[in-house]
Amino acid sequence: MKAKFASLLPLLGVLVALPVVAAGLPDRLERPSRMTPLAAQSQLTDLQRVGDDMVMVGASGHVLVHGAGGSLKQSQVPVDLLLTAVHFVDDKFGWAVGHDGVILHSTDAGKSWSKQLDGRAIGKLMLDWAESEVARLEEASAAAPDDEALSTALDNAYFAVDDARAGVEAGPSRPLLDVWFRSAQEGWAVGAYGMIVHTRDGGQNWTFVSTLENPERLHLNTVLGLADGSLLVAGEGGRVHRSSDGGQTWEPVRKLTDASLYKLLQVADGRLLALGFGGTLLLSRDQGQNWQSVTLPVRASLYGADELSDGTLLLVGQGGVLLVSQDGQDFKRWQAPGKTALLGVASFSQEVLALVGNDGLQFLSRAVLTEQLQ
Amino acid sequence: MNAQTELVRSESALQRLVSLTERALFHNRLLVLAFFLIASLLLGWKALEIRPDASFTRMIPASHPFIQNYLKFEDVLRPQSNVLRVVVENPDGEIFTKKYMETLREVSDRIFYLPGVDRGNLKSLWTPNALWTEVATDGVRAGRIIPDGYDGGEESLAQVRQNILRANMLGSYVADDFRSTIIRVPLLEVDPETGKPLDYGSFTQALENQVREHFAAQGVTIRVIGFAQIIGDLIAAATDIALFFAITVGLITVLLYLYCHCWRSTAVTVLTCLLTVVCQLGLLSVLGYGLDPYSILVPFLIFAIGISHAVQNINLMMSEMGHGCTPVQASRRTFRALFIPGTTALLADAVGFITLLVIDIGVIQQLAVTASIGVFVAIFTKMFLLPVLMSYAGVSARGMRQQQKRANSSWPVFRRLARVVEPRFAMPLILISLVLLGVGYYARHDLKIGDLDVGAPEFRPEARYNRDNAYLLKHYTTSTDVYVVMFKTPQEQCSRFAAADLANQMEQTLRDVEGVESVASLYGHMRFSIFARNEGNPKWAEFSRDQYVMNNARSGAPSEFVDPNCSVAPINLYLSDHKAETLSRVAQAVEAFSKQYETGEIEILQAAGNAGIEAATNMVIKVSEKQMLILVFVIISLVVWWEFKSLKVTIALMAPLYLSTVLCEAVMAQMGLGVKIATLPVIALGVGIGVDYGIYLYSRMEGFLHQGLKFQAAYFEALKTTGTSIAFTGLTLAVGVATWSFSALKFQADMGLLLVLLFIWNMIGALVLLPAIASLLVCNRETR
Repeated sequence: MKAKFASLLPLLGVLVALPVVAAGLPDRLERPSRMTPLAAQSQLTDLQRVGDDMVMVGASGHVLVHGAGGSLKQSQVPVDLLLTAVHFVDDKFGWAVGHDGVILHSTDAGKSWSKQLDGRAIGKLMLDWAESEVARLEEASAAAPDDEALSTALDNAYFAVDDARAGVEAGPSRPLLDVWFRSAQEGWAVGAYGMIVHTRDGGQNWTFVSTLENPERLHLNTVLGLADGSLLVAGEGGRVHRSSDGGQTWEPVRKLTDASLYKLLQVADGRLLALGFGGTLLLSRDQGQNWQSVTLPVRASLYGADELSDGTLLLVGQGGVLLVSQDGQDFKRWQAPGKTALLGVASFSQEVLALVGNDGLQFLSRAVLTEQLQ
Repeated sequence: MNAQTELVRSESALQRLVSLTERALFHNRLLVLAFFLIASLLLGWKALEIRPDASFTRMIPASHPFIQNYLKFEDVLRPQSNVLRVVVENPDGEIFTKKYMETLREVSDRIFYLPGVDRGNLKSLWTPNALWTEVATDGVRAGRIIPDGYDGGEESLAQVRQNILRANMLGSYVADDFRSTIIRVPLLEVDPETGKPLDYGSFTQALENQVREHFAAQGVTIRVIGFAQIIGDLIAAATDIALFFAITVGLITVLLYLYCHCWRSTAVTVLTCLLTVVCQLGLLSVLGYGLDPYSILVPFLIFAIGISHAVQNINLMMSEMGHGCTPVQASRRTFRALFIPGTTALLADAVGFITLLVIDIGVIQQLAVTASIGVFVAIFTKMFLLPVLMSYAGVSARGMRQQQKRANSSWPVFRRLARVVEPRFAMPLILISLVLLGVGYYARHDLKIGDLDVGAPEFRPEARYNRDNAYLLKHYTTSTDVYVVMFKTPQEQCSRFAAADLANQMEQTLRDVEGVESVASLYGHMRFSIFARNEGNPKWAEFSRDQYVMNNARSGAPSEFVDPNCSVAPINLYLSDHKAETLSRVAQAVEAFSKQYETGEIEILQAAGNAGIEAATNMVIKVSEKQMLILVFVIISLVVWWEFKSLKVTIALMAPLYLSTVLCEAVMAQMGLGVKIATLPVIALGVGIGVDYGIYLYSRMEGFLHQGLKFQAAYFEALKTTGTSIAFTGLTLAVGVATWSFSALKFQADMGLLLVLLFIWNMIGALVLLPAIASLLVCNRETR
């Protein structure tokens, strides 16, 4: 009888928190993303149709592949940090970018990913460029001491060095915010503090794009190649940069508005949309030469947009707002029940829309949408 | 040989002591009565002063490492631990009316001034710590929920609604349907100015009168959830509990009279039992104890123990008088016969109760003290006062006729029952018991520690508290079961990237644990703050390696998220329920995480919050339950061994008790009752109460055996007197407590049921199983 009791004695000490020497947590650039059943309910920032599947990226290195049949699979990703954008050039090759300047690459439609670049390398690229620029300009201005343009450029170069050093010192923290590839070979990624990198070999080698005029190191939020072959970069403070030669040279920067621009979208008929902070929507019919402002029914910041096959335009943003328009002028509003920010929208099937945002993935049937539009 | 003489000598020494006591007692009967009269008056007067007394600190296992950690950082953790949530509902619609907001302000103010409230941490829409932040083109803006120029107009109210959304208070402080809001009221267990402990009874009374009733008249519905309210409701139900006690006592009195047909012995029995309870309460009061709501059943248990001893006494007394003794002679003979077994049994009870002290939870230790004092008093009232009183009162003529009738009976039932000591009946009986034990073991497997249901298991599901709790669960997203993990860094390091990254990883890992619904912490706040400062762009919602960014992100964090030194950040896990399984699952997940990643610089400490504290309580109870049972059995076995000087007899006495303990646990498991603070004592007390029967029965049998009777004959003779008393007591007490199942308090109803089972099982065990086992172990060819 007593022996039976004794055998039941558990050990209290098991659950006592003691400082144990453990391996510690590897850096988030070095540890794989955790597999979790909650990935679809955690923050998702961007999505794209890839073949019949839907690829989504988001917090903690989550990449989800939603099959047309309804399966939802979390992909193996080598980093554990917030991914901010994804872009596939075909139904196999794609890139995703995120915090710490990370660039990931997939060759199997998003099922697996490998790291191509991170902020440590970008920081070095930018510092090398800034230092060489200082050296070049110091030499030039020594030759021509009265050239004011040169001394301004030199000041900018000094600032660029300081900024690059600051970026390296704290660690590779600065996020890349968008990525766009022209082909499986050539693409660009843009991000915070004027980060912009370019590759011509599918991401094996990246270079810093120094020709873009951004001495204040403002954030570059989005990048898009247009149908006419030109490249557009938009970002903080309503700035838009445009290059017609693949980023070799850039037209003088234009400031379209005070509000930051978060997303560029070109629709089937060639019209160009720029959307951003506080309900900003700008429309261009001439590949971004001239822009007009569109008045929207809400002042919510807009983060994502898509055009459906029937020409319907969808914008999503802060507070779970979804704006719908047939003509790009007159928008009607739908409110997601969760009221948390929506960051991306895409058509999942003929009848169903996929929405991603701070609360993860949700589906919305077009019938319900039509019914509830205000 | 030597040991034998030693034994005889000590036996006779004991006998001499009994004779000495007997002479002293019966030669000074008036003196004894006077002593008890004075003592009763004094203690009775003190008993009037006894007050309900409860404490949050006493409910928690103070030396458990979880609680040690909690107490170390109590200041920052209090808002999640001993806290009341006051729900103020507008039954007529949404909260955005001038009238509602005004009433809410009054409620908030009224609560602010209630003594015992931690005013600095009080939080409602109206308090200055309810803030919102928002991002604009020109940076971050912040303000109070109720705007500065608030005038109750439409515009102001729209502003309030917007601020609630901006502050992310929907689902936590404001109901999802906008029809009610919550006022969070942390309590101070000790008044920092006067140093006096919080009086839960008067606090909840004040809350009831000054808030709930007062504002109900003003058209809002008030609901209160939290530990203090449970205690308040228990204290308020004390009159109900007392009423049921009174019913039980009345019922037992009637049954007692029907049994003995003698109003004198009935009156003496009930009187001495009640006196025991009064003196117990008086002694408690003298010693400075109050009556904790969780110990409220103890006075009744003392009454029950008293009854079982008194019935033994009057039964034997009647039997002696039936043989022609005078009341005084009968009383003296009874005293001689019962003093040793009675005192031994009561000592065993006391020891059983005192073992509850091993449980490191204040309220259970208090219960141990309360019960032991009661038994201590019972030794005096039952062993000394009762015989003296009976020597005066005697037995009425009717009682004697009843006794005569009984004595002349041929005892058909007992005669048949006595045959269980024959091996051909004893063996199958023991086999059946073993099967029962097996079944009990199997059924006991489901026995859980802690609470098994949502809400407060002390009350019925339809009780006000549980309805209020259900309302809160239904209309709010944030649950009331909060498990807090303390994230401890060196000073001023809480917002470092490495700390945030680790904390975040832990939060993500724990979010995956079944039962964790959401997480709130400094780090969630910082992440929000970082993207808020980047124009509110969610793509920035990630920690930065840049310390400036992290420090900025920390500023403005609510005080419940981090201590002023930036060294402790509570990670609040909101759980789906507080079932024991959920709690231990979370505790194990946290432990596993910290084992894997903790490096020494940063410590991950468990646990606070009501759920964290309950997890610790469960762990302590789980361990202590086993310890306590082992101790109870070992110590009571020693007492029994000391009394009978035989290992075999000890086994025969203890085995039935073990069976009833196992069966009691099995029934608990099947009924969905968890082992917790409220139920744990019953198990220990059950053993204590059960051993009395066995000691009385076997000591009587032993007497007959010494007179040379065969085992079966001795058993039969013992059944006639002691056995009748045991059967009567067991049944009477069982019937008495069975009425509790009608109690409005589920706590009392559950206890009632468990006690019914224990009384009956112990009775059957002592009457039937004990002799059966003893016959196999003790008998030889001669004695059979």
